[in-house]
Amino acid sequence: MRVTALLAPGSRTQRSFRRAVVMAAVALVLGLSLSTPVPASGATPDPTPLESGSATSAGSWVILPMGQLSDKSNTFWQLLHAPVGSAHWSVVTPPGAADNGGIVAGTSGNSVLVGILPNGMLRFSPVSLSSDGGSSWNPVTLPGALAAVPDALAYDATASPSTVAMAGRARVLSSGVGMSSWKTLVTAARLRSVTPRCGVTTLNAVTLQPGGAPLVAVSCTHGGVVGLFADVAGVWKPSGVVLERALRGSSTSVIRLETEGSTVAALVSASHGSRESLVAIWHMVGQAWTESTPLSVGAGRPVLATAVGPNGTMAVLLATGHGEAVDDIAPGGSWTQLPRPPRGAVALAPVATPAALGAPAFDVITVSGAAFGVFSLTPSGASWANVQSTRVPLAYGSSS
Amino acid sequence: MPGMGRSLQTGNSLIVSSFHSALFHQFLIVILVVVLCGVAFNVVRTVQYRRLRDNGGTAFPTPPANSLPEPTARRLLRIGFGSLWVLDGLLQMQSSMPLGLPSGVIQPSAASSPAWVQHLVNSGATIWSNHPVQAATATVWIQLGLGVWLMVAPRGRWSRLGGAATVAWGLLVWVFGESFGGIFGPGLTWLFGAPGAVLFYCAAGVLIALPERAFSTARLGRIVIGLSGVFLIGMAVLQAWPGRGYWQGRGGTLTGMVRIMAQTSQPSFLSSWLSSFASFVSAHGWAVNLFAVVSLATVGGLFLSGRRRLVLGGLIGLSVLCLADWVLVEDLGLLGGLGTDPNSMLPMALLFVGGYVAMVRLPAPVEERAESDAVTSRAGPWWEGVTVSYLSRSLAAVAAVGVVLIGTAPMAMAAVNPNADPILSEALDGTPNNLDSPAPPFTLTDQQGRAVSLASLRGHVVALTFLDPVCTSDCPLIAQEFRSTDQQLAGQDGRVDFIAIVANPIYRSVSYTKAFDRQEGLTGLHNWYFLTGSLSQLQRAWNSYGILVQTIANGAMIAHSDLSFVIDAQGRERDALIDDPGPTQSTASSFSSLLLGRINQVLGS
Repeated sequence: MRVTALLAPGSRTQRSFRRAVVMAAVALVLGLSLSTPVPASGATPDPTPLESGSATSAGSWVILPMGQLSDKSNTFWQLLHAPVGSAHWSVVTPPGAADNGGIVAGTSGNSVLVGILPNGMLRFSPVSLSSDGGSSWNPVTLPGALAAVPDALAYDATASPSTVAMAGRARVLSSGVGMSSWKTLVTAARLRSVTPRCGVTTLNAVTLQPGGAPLVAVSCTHGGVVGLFADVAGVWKPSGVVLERALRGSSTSVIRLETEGSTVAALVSASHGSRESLVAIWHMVGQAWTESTPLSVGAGRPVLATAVGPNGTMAVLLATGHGEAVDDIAPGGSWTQLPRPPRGAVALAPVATPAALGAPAFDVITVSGAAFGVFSLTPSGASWANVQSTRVPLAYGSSS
Repeated sequence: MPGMGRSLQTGNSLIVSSFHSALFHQFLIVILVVVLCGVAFNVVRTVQYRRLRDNGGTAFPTPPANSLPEPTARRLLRIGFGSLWVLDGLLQMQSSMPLGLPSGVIQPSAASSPAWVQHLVNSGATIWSNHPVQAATATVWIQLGLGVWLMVAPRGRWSRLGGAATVAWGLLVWVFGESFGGIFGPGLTWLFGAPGAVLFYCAAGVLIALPERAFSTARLGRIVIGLSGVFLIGMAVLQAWPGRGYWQGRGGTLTGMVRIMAQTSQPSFLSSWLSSFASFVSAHGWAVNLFAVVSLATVGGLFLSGRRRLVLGGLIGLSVLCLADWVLVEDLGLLGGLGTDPNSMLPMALLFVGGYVAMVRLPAPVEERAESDAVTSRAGPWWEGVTVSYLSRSLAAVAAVGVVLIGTAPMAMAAVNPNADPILSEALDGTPNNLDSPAPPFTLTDQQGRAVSLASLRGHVVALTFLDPVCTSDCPLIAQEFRSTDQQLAGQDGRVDFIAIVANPIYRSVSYTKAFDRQEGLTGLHNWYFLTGSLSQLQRAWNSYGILVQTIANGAMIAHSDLSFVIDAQGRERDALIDDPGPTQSTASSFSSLLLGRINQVLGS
């Protein structure tokens, strides 16, 4: 039937046509409305924060971002160092490459191995080694891109291998002192085949234990199992750590893994449904792993920064609905909430004074543009006091 | 220098002058086409006159006796939309069009659309961005040509073909220029011009392309008015749909839109009207939206009634509404330097009026109606019997088609050329410096650990640059432009070597040049050398070529000059080119075209 025939005035076909066009209009509008994109719901999990502190026998190190933190190309990550006995923090960021994507470090005594995460069009990681507390740097080469987690690198010049590195979230590389050649130490797939109890998903962190043996942390999906695998004479063995009964249903991720002295310390994130907790675990040579009570974090209290201090003390900076909060813990102890940190807190720095050894002691570092401030707890422990303010020249626009 | 963040401003003098120059040269071609058509007219008339004289005749051919005037509705659509095309073509002549259209019009219109729309639109925008001068001039002539074509060809195949051409070009503009009029994005509303102005041009083009007999009854007009009613009711329902921000005054979608339009560069009185209207909407948003919904639904209902008086009433009401929206919401659509058309209200009103006229103003019925005043019935070739009016309009249409082709040809060539116009690189970095001096020698180590000196490459043309192997922005782009240039050299690549010297005093080992090559996919290129050496060797090379390399502390990239050189087979520097890739893929890609041109020049000299 020709369309125009439908329009004969006053006919039934005309009335039918009108009804049809009105329905078509409604259908059109419905279709158009349904075609309107709906915003995606559900947030993606927060990545492990790169803002991190660590301590060695020779001093402390902190990694933090500075500049215009809302603009990645104008965010410049810095490595700060304070030698033992000094309360002054210096910027010792290795020069020569743009680090807007973040940096990670492996520390050992006065040495630090720093890797720059891929960013912009750079898709591999430049790496530099300093053996003098960051005063001078020697570039070394890593085949590939480092994982964006704080403990993606571990270095100990006296160990063999001396360096382990996470090339992405599925492969660990190792190398000798000169780092001239690298080999695959282990992969996530290999660890998955070691034990079915964990349900290995991705690699989380690496460290070199007091005896020099590599220890690799992974995310586990099963029953509160903590994914720690040690290289024992070429055989990968799980640590066997399972979180306390209340957390048995949780999946776990290791967000920090550090060796300091004779202690290996790990910070474990346990998730079960919407609940999320942090659990600190420690291991001393010849002893079993010990486990802290859980600290509730999660959607309302995401982790902003972490620090591992002397003898395995730990601290976390959390975001809360009304500013930030700091909690710390020592091996065998329980989480202690410290006074509310100053505004602009971005990182926690292990205190590098001999007096601090044995007890948790962390400074708070704030950042405002190109300036950072260091805040120490007052002797009474009731508040934070500004002990250092430093302005850092930043080359805004240099990476765009 | 990496990090200096150069960008091309829409008023870049080189691009603008090149645009104006191209327009002028193409205008001369247009004049030539018009003159040729004038000559053809005179030739045909002379032949007719001689044949008339030979046959002893006294009168030139005249139109057939049953020839009738063109239907009013068709004429209205043809001249109306022809005029709009001409206006659009003139707007395309604005200086900011070559560089401003992709970033100022095309990409913003696609920004809120689904990814597949953005992908499709970006493919078109890339053609424009790569060839801004060709694309901008092409658009001017295509739209001017279409407008003139519609206006000068009232009857017959030429005229209908003009309607079809309007549909074809209109759809291209609707898809690539207007991102389907935003129909796949959120916030679709009649008030902001949905479903896109050019879609009304297309609808008019369809009507013009129909045989004239389609206008001989009221059916065509009824269909147009009926579909218009459906459209308006659909827009009313969409406007009334909750949760889309139109019932909200302060902070609502309409308020925001009007405030943005008020910021456009325009006469102060217009800006003042828009600001006042924005305040009014902010205070009475719910009532304004209710008015819009009721008005659209009412006019749609009147159109659907099919009764002449009701349709006329609806048409008058809609015209007033369109005028108000055109001024107070769409801000006339053609201001601010990047206005490409007067937006949707004028063409929509024109189309609806055309539909109404087609419904009420019917041509006088005749049994055998001639649709053309083309040819009288004479023996002999067609040109002997063609009437003067038909001849003049046909030749004018041919001239208009010629104008369209003047635009279409370079646009088609631009579309198939993946390499950006070298003028972009020159606009960004300046024209290359011509040199003729011995190139400073160097001996360095390539990515395989072999010693390579400039002297060892004698006999080959050398393209030389300086790259940081851990650079995050410019250097990978420059390396890719070198690779692209190599690919375009085709059979000549055996005579050209591409060399980069490390421009980083820290990350300068062979392992880093190898890592860079792997990253950039350069490992398989037989004529690519990424050279490094000791710090003193590198510093000598940097100094001798005038390359500034500066270490910036605290997490920043190494700053270094973005400079390339073309060295001839005798080892003489012939060109120095700034190779800052600029802010877009087009400006980066443009450098390879520029470098290719210089290398070919040196190869040919």
